[in-house]
Amino acid sequence: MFLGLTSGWLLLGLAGLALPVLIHLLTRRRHEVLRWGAMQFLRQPTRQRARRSFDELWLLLVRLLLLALIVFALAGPFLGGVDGFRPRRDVVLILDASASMDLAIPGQPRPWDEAKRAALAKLEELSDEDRVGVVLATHPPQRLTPHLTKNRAEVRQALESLPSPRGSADGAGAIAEACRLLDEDPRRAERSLWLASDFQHWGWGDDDALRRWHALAGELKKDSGHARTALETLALTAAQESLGPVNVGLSPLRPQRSVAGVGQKIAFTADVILERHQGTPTPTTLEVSIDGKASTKVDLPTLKTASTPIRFELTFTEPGLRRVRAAFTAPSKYWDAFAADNSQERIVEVATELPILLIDGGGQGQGSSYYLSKAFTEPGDPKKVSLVTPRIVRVTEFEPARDLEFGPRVVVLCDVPSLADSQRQALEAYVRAGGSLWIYLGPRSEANPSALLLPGTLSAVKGDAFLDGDRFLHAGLEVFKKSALNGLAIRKRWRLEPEAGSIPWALFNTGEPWLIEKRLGKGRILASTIPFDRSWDNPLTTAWEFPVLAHEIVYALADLRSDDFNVKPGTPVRLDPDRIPGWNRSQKGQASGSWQPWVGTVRTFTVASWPYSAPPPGPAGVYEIHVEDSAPIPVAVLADAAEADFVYLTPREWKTLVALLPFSAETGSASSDALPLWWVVLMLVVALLGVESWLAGRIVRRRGVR
Amino acid sequence: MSRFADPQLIAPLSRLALQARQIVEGFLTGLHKSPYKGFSVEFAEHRQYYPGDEIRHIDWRAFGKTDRYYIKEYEEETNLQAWMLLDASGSMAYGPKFEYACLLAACLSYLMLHQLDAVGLWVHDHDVRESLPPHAHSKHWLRLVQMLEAARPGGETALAPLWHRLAGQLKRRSLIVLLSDCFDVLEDLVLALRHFRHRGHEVLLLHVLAPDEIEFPFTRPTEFQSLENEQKELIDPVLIRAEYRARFDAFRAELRLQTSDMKVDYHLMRTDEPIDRALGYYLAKRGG
Repeated sequence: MFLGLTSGWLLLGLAGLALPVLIHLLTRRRHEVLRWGAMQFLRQPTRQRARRSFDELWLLLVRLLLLALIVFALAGPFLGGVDGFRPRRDVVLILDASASMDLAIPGQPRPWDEAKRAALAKLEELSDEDRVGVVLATHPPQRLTPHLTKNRAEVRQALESLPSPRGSADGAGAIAEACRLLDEDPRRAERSLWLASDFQHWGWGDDDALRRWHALAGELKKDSGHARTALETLALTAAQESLGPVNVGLSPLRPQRSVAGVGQKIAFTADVILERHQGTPTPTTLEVSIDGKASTKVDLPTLKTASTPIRFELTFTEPGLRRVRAAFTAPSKYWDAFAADNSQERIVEVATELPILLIDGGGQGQGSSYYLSKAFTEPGDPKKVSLVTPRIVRVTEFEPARDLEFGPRVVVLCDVPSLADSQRQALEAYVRAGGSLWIYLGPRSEANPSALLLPGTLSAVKGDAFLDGDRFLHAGLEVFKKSALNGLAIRKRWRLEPEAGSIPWALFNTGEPWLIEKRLGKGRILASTIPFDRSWDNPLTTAWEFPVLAHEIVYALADLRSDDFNVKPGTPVRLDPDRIPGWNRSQKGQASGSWQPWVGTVRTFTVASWPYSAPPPGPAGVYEIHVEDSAPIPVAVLADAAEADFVYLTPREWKTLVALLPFSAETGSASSDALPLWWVVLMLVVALLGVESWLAGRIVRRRGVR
Repeated sequence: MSRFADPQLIAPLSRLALQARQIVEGFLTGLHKSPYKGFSVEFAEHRQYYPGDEIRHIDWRAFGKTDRYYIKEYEEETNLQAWMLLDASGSMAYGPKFEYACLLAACLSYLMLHQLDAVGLWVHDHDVRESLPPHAHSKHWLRLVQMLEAARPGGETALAPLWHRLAGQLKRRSLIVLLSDCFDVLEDLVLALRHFRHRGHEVLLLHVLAPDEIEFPFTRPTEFQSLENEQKELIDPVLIRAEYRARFDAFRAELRLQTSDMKVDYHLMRTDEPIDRALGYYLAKRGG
């Protein structure tokens, strides 16, 4: 045990002790001299004189001691050397575990390795009484330790066994998670955050990140306790000083659609990114697997430009949610500084059927749903059985409770003039819950069918226009660009003024949309301004591509469900029994589920009601969510392409961000090994002030009122 | 002009008469008319006769020898003899005490001579420094005043032994006027005063004090240096004021009580009080 001072030079202030002594001496000499006659009455009682000088001596001593203690407190005394007296600290280590930390530049250590090494060193600085937690600054942030722990060995092991980083970062979220970790247990006098990151702009300073920073700052400032939390940062800037890494990467996969039938082909496109290529070898093959089984190999062209598009097709043989993975085959020689973007994954739904509901607008004879129904039940190729299974109901007989019960993937309003209020409300609820509604307009549509939830307003029936293949904008319509549909003349059509935010799928040559979508809740509504029957002498149904077009539109609309299984980082996973392939629709009771996160132990959740929003499973990658005995549900957290930007925050930008937070220090924590004693000294000062006041009062009282 | 012969100061006192409360030699002059009306039996000098002089005062014997008329003058004679004992010890040097006492002595002596009483003066500290035997002649007052002017305070106070000695020396019963601050051992002072009274003297004690000595108003720490010896006391006056006053008041009260018991006239003379008013008050009281 030893007593130390953080600012020992301040003890020079003890010279100030001479001040009261000098004052005392000067005061003694400044008494007056008086020649006096009545000396015989001046005799002071010895007791009083002694007591007075005794009190004054005490007062002088107390004042000297006061001054000395104040100087001592300012010098920052601390007690060190004995574990029992060391301050107990709570420390949370925040490691940026985004993919950019895995950057490998020749001759430089990887930031990730540096961060782990520094974190382990930091761990060694802690005492047995200190508690530590680890938060990984991925998106979403993830705790490596569920709670603060004194078991440093356990934390060390967890740090050493961390896999390579992945995904992007959520810096503000990680700090918020670290603060939550600190707040879970009774607060200790010393709390600190230690953060190691490359501070890449994406994840730490982009627009979304800035919003999260401001939200975090507002949240933290509500609790004044955070003002004493110290923040120490370790900027791993090796990569920032280089000219930028050589990188070959694969952009996220873009499937033609994310829903297919068994045996159907789906085309996938992607881009091979080449950055700062310096003549080193590039990958030659892309290996594609389905559910981990090699499916096909794609020979890559010679990579010369920054972005090279590639395309491949996959045929799925088993129904359900299928995991597609495309990855470069690694060349033998080092060629890529950033390996995280060398593979991409996506979940594809392989369905056995796509039930749809055709609501017939009426009319005499075949009805308005006839041609669509025929397109699904009698596809052009007789060898193939359509995946789409339509049910037909006339609009006048449409009862939502009954007719939507079977869970149609798409509901089609076939030239429906109008809807009853109850029908409209039910369909709107269906869309908002994630359903797809396709409205094709025709001669029966009213001029202003407000009840039809259209993505715009109808203005008039217009005359000649033709379909323009160059203006087939939706990926699902790509196959029709050079088909007979291109240039097909349309004699009559509705003119629709699109709403703001609506998305056109295909345009006439006039630039007006003939297929246009709007989002509503979790679902969407597609409007067609031309009929999908033969009214108005519509030639569409006569084209041999008509059944294919009908199928592709249904596939594209049904594709919306794939968003549940291909999610952005940090997004909750929507679990809806009605939308999970292979689930029995009766599985709607309470259930428990789990998933294995990227690091750490299995995470569990309990479902009280469906649909259920499960927590974001982790950074980019594929996770399998288990809900009781059902088959695992694969969920792909899509990677952020911007993670490979390698643009970093400047120190000034980082300082600006940290200034938003109420922490006590940006760098250099106060985590000394010593127990600060200034508060003890100050308590003594307060006590002595009381004594001084009492002594002074006593002397004044003895002097009496003048 | 003498500093004590201020007619403006002295003249008002002449309107008052000193009335002896006790008869020392049997009678008092002043209020009682002298049977000799300014002429005593003690020859003083001859002077030339001027018309208007009473014929019965012509010295016929001188006329017979010189064939000229001479008037024979006699000194007046009184039955009251007063001794003023002026304390010139060091303690009287505080403030204007000594000057005040001298002025007081001058005024009283003037008054007494005006009353045709004989007045003498002893200036003393622990011993007699100056002495002037009592006379009733008007010129005597000037010598007395000169002596007062020459006197300076100093030396130690030992009033009681001296007063004892003086009491023994006085053969004739007299009025003893004591001008002193009485800073001595109270018991000894009382014994000395009692000695005066025992010898039949009438005693008038004028206790001359400065206001500071009575009120002790000092506030700052002060080193009190004795005016009479090397004694020093560094004191915070505030601390001892109450006790000082109590002790001082007790001293004065005891002195007043003891003097009253032995029929010694005691009067406090504060130096901040005008002498004429103080004398007037005193003489009026005597007269009552």
